[in-house]
Amino acid sequence: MVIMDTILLIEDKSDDVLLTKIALKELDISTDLVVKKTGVEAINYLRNNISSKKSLPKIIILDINLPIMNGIEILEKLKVNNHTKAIPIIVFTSSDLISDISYCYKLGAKLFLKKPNNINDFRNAIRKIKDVCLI
Amino acid sequence: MTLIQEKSQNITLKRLKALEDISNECSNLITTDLSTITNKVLKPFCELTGADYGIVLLLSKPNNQIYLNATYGLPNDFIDIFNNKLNFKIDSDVTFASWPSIRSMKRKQIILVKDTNQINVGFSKHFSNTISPNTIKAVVSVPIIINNEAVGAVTKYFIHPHEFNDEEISFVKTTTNIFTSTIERNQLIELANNREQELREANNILKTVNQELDSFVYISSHDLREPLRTIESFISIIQEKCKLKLSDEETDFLNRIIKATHRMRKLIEDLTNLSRASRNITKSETMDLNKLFNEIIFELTAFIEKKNAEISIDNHFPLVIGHKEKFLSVFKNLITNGIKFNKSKRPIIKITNIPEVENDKVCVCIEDNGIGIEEEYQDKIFGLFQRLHTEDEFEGTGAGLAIVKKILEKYNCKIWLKSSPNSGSKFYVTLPKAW
Repeated sequence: MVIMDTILLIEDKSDDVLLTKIALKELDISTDLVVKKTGVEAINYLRNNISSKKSLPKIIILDINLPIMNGIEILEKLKVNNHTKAIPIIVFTSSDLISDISYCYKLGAKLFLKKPNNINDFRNAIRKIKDVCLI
Repeated sequence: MTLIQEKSQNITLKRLKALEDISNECSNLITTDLSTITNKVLKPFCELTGADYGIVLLLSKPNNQIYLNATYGLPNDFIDIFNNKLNFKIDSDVTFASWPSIRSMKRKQIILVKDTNQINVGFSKHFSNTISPNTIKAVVSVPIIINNEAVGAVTKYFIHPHEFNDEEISFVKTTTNIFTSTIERNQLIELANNREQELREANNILKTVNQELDSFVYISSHDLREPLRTIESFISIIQEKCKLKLSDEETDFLNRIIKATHRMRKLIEDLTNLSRASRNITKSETMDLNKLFNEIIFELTAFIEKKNAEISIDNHFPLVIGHKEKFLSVFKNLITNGIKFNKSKRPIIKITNIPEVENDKVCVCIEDNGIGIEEEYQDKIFGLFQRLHTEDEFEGTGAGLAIVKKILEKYNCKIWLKSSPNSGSKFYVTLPKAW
């Protein structure tokens, strides 16, 4: 049995989930993609993994514009928790506000990527994530 | 000089002095409280004519209600009792029509009653409870006329029959005139204050609405980008995967969709830029315009070379103060327009300093040898998404000058132009001068 690395994708837009899956497949990156639509769902998932001593995701890809708890709040929470603070977090969003970018890096994001508007750039973005996080 | 003559001269002098005092007091009186004015006038008005009682009745608009505003010689609570008991309108009741005050107001002329034994005066009967055992024998009532409309009356009552000589009538009239003009002036002041207040309130509402609109544009432009990005992304997949399978016609259709998405992206970007135009302008810095222009030219190098354009810039501009990104956007738009809307083989842009246009402003002129703009369209070009040409002729969304204008307005600065078809345009821009 091949044990795949897990990527946690925190994303509420099904279109972007699909595009991510397409890009991962095309780039031949075999991974277990876990998708959570809100911060609460994602944190519960991580909490369950911690309490049941399951492995944690190798990378977290995080959108900013999310309902209830936005990506920046999630990033803050994950970076102060001893169990999750070491997981590389990629902020992947359509925001290009300089204030967002600099704040995310300040909080400890590994990479800030703007969501592209074509499949080629999407592949490039995923490739970049792969390179940065050495999947 | 007889004793009577001397006495009469004394009274005349006193009246003149009283007129002078009233006039002085009234001219310095700025109040919208009418009873302050009426009380000041009524007292000398009665005292110097030997009247025993005096009242000022006023007409309150718009319901035409008559109310007692000031009294002389009557108990303090008389005003309240009168106003509470006698709630009447000028045209409503025949009983009141015979009152001298009402008659003077209706006829817009002075009413004199020398002896009530000869004439029936309704108003005096109304007083009888209050002023008993005295009964009114003589009355003079002068209407207060503003804009040819009686708005009240000043009335004096005598408990003895009274002869009114010319001098006394003239005193009464003049006093009322002063009184009238004081009311008139104070009404104007009140009107002006109200207008100012209304204007301030309207302005505040406008500001709030504008801010809301800005936020709306900002948020909606962001939200519009999301579905567009999805459309673009999936179309790019279809394009990649089906490239070889599509017929020429189908490829053409797909290209049209792609072109439309690009245009929509540009429109949304412009909307975002417009809403950003007035955001975050608080961060101000002093700027050297020459450096700013060189930065823009550097950024536009490819475009300038492609269009074979030439740009000349004055050597010395005074320093300006503001948000650099915003000012970059202003001049980038204007320079690009000058080159874009230009059919010359060599588009030429001249950027010059126009001194002494406004004291605290720097004025920059951006002149081109482009197609020019007809006078009747010159206001239109600052409207959002306003275009004077087809997309095929000159591409663009038509948001540029709206953004430029919005940025400048935030700094209380202006943009205007001088242009005519085929002889180029001169755009003038003012910016805050740094001291």
